[in-house]
Amino acid sequence: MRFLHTADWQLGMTRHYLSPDAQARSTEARFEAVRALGRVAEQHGCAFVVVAGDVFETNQVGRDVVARTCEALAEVPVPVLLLAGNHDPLDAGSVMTSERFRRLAPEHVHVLDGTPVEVAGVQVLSAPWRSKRPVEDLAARACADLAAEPHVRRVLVAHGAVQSYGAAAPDPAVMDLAALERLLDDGALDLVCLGDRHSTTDVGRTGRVWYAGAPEPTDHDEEDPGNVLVVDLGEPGEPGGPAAIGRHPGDAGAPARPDVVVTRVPVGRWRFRRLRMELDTDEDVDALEALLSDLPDKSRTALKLGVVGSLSLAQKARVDVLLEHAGDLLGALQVWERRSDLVVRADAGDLDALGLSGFALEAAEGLARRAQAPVTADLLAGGPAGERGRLPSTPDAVAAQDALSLLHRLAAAG
Amino acid sequence: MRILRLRLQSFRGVVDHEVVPSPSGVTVLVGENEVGKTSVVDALDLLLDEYDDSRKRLVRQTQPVGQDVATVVEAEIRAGRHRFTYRKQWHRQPSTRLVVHEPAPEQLAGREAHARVLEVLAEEVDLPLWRALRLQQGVGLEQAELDARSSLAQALDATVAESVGGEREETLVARAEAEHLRYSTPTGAVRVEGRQLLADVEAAQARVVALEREVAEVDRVVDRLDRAREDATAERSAGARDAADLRAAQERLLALRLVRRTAEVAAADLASATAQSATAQQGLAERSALRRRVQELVEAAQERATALVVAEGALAGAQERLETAGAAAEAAAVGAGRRRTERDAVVRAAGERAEEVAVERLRGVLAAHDQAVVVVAAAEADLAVRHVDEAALADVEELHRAWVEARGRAGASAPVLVLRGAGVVVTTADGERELGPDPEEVRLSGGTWFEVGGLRVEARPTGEQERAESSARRAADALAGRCAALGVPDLAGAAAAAHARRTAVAALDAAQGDLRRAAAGEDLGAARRRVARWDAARPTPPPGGGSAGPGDTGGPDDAGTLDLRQAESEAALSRAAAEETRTAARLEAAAAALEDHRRRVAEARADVEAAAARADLLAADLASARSGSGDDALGQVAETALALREAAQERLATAEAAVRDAGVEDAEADLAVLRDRVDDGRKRLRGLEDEVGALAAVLDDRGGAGTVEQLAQARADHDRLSRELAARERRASAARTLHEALQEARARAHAAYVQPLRAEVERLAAPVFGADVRVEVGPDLRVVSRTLDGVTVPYDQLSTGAREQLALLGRLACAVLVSGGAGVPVLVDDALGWSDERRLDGMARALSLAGASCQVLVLTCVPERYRKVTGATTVRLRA
Repeated sequence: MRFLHTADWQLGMTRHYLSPDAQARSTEARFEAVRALGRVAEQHGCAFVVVAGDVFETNQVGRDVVARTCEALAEVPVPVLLLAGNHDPLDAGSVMTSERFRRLAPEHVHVLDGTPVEVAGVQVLSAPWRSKRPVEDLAARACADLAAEPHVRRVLVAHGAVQSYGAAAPDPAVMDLAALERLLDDGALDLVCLGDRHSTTDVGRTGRVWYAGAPEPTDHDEEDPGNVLVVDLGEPGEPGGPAAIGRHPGDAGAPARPDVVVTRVPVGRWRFRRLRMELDTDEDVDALEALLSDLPDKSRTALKLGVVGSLSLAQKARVDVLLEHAGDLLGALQVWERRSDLVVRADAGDLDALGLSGFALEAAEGLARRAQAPVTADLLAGGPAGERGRLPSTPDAVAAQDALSLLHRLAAAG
Repeated sequence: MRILRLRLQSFRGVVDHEVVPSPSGVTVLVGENEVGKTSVVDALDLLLDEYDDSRKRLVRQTQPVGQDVATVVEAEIRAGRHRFTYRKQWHRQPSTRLVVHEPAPEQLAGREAHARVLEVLAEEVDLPLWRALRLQQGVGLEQAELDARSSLAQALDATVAESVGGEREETLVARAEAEHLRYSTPTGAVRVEGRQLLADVEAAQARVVALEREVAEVDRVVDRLDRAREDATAERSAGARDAADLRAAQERLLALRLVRRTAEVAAADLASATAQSATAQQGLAERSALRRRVQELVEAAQERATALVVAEGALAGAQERLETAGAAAEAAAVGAGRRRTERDAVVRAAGERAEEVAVERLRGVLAAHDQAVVVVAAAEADLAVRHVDEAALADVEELHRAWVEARGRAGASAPVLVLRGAGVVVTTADGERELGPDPEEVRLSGGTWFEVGGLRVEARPTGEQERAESSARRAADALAGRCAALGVPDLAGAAAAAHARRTAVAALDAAQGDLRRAAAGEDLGAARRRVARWDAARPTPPPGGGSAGPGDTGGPDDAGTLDLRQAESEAALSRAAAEETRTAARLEAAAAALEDHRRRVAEARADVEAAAARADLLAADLASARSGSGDDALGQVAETALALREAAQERLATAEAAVRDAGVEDAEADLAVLRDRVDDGRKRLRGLEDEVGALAAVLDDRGGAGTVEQLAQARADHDRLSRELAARERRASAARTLHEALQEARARAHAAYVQPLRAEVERLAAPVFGADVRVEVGPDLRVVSRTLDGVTVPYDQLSTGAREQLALLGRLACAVLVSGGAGVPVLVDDALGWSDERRLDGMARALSLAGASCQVLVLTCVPERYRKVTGATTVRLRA
């Protein structure tokens, strides 16, 4: 018996660093991911799909998002069980209980409201969020008084953070992983399908507690996004195969039951990358150029770039051109201002290269002195200026650096 | 750059001509107008600038008119290390040929050659300076645009160890300024795009805030809706419990209703008895009040009667006061009448005395008048008898003159005899007489005769003598007749009579004047009547008192006495009249007081009657009431009613105690509380349901609006715009910083290299204006002013000649400074037309000085102007 585990679709999500065009592409990609996972479910013979929370970015999505979601869901050929997460709780404003959603949603879409549901011979327990600030462990509540029953296979669908072993949980809503694992050990539960963490993660020791991760990445700090999980619960009485992922070997005392096989299937098309580069030489700039040009699928790549170093006027001009060009091609390019510390230095050779004479040369030298002034002052004061890392700067020095870059550009224009 | 040789063929009017200027120093190219000396300049430009196949108008115009021939320009030029021959042919079989001689032989043709020349020139020569250093006809007064020419800059740099930029640097300045102006206006304000961006950022921020508020509002609505739904559920179950309690309480209360009914009846009885007792008490009170009222009215009537008596007494007193006042008024009136009579008598006596005085005066006037009338009559009578007036006297005088004349004429015509003979007796018509010792003349008029010694001598008059004598006699007769008529003897008599008449006329005039004065302006008739009236009114005056007045009533009264008496009587009369007025007023007041008292008495009398009537009326009422039921009977009724009421009260107390014992009130109170609770619960539920409905409607309305997405989008917009703004501001800052840095550096550099140019201009200007000439050179390298003999004159205000000289000197100074590698020839096209002989000499020396270090080509049709340029090569151009 197979089903597909996914979560954190966050339909209707926007990203402030995306241009309007890129945002439109990103939005479209999220709906496309739903269709794609529908195809994955079909290809892998999944009986149904569970979505472990955060179907929507918020309950206050536009009606177009609702309409397009229902349109995409219609293309999923198996039943889809939706769980409300912290982004879209089942409160009075819930999208999934709204008149519009109920009217548009296809027949095979079911909203999990905490009542156990039987589907394809599996009992699905659910722990939906009913408000944005729950005051208890919803998973524990859904599994209250749960005991193993013969021939009953249970899957818990829940959303949120789990408490690590031994760690104190300041938030009462954090799930008690140990309690869940006991239920799994006892056979009261066969699998826990979690949502909230965007990176695909196997949690705990059992191999039966999974975060599916977001099918389309949403941010730079996600480690393994872009997947859905095909879960094979096996057939009753059938032992698990050796290739099963997540099978826990040290569970000798458990009653005989099939192993669970969880398979990652990538569906996401966007890439969120974070890069930090040190730029000091022409070779460094060459490397940046190569890196940028080698990026695949640029229009669906969001790059966050941190650059540090000290460049000549010509090098800085080159970097500016490179970044400008990359900004035109990429889905998003954020030059990571917080950690960028790219200093323009105009030394004598640099100024000579401009081929200036007379007063223009004098002006350029003056600007170079101003650009270097904070560093010079820092050096004179015994500071670490000139070393890697954040250099001392002043608005005037920045203006002078920029002016030198501009001078370089204007001079280079012939 | 040096022009070593220049050849023109079929170039406008020039058929074929070659010019070989001196490679350094001054070359004067002499040509008449139309010969084509400007063609030399144009040909050089054409050679360097235009392709051989150019169809430009300025190229086409070089072909000689009407000739389909090729135009050829060929030049040998030295430019830095390069020396080359460059030839172009236009119009027919166009071609370009370049032969480089130095530093390495090279041959090129066509566009390649053109490009190579430009390359060499760009490398070696400052072409803009080449154009700037020309002094062309017509623009001779303009100074060269020397601003930062690179070769000049380098030359100056070598001099002052300062650097200026060249064309490339100027281009950078222009670009930096253009970049700066993309962001700022020339006045430093942010351009509209920047302001718009800032406004967009603010608008986006505002939108973010608004959407955040909206999202938060929806969140609040959701929270409230959840709460309201929970509350409604709780309210419904509480309401069901309350309804059950209410039903139980209602059933318990029904059993207690009978007990309470008894109490209600007792309460009704008590109410009835209370009402009856109240009615009886009221009757009693009313009777007592009636009695009190009657007593009050009787006492009031007695008070009124007493008041009437007092008023009547006051009336009698007023009557007496009126009579007393009447008597006083009468006495005062009599006294006043007497004083008035006395005053009238005094006034009359004064009047009569005045009339008497007036009449006496008139009497005198009349007497004087009568006297004057008599005198006048006498004068008139005297005048009437004196006839000889002035006319009559004139008549007599005329007649007398006529007679004397006639007699003269008669005497003159008679002969005269002279008788001599003392003692001789002669007889004449007048008798005998003896002649005297002296001869005596005798006029022999008619009839004259004498006798002497018997001799009678008779004169017989002549006819003429007779006529004269006759005329004399007629005149004598006329005179005598007139005198007789006038009653006078002769002329003297007439004159006396006329004098007497004049005297009489004057006497009459005097008398008439006296008569007029005697009237003294009086109407004599009226005066006479007034006197007659006075006399008629008076009896005959008493004897001895002729002058006494008729108004004399005892003793003489003069005017002063009369005035005194009049004043005294007036004062007495005034006092009496005042007394009379006072007493009359008192009388009137007394009469009014009397009237007032009469009225009061009448009113008091009416009051007495009214009070008596009221007392009577009420007494009748009291009597009537007592006839119904007596005062005692009323008292008994009231006592009975009170007793009945107390009995009813006791019964009610008993019944209420029974109700209390049964707990009816508690049960009712419980029921009421339960009812209220159920009602309140229903109301709360309705309120909650309303709230749920309303909030759900709000959510329904808001849901699907995609507010969070809009908010995210708005934040994205804000981020993007903020980044754009920051980037723009950073670019603007960079552009401004660069622009300012370049401008400052350029200004400093310019200031520094002005000095050597100025020194050179002054060196060249010394021969022209004198050794002490000083010039000021501006940052644009133009001469700003010239100082001569301590007098500084701005360039624009210099004479035309001086300006032209300075314009050329400035160019020469540049050429001298740049005479090294990149130096260019100075081209002077027929300048110095405004210079006088002395200045021309000076300019010639300046040209000589400049020619020592650079190539100068002077084109002129007046070679004399440059005669004194030393070392000059003169080349004559021909067509």
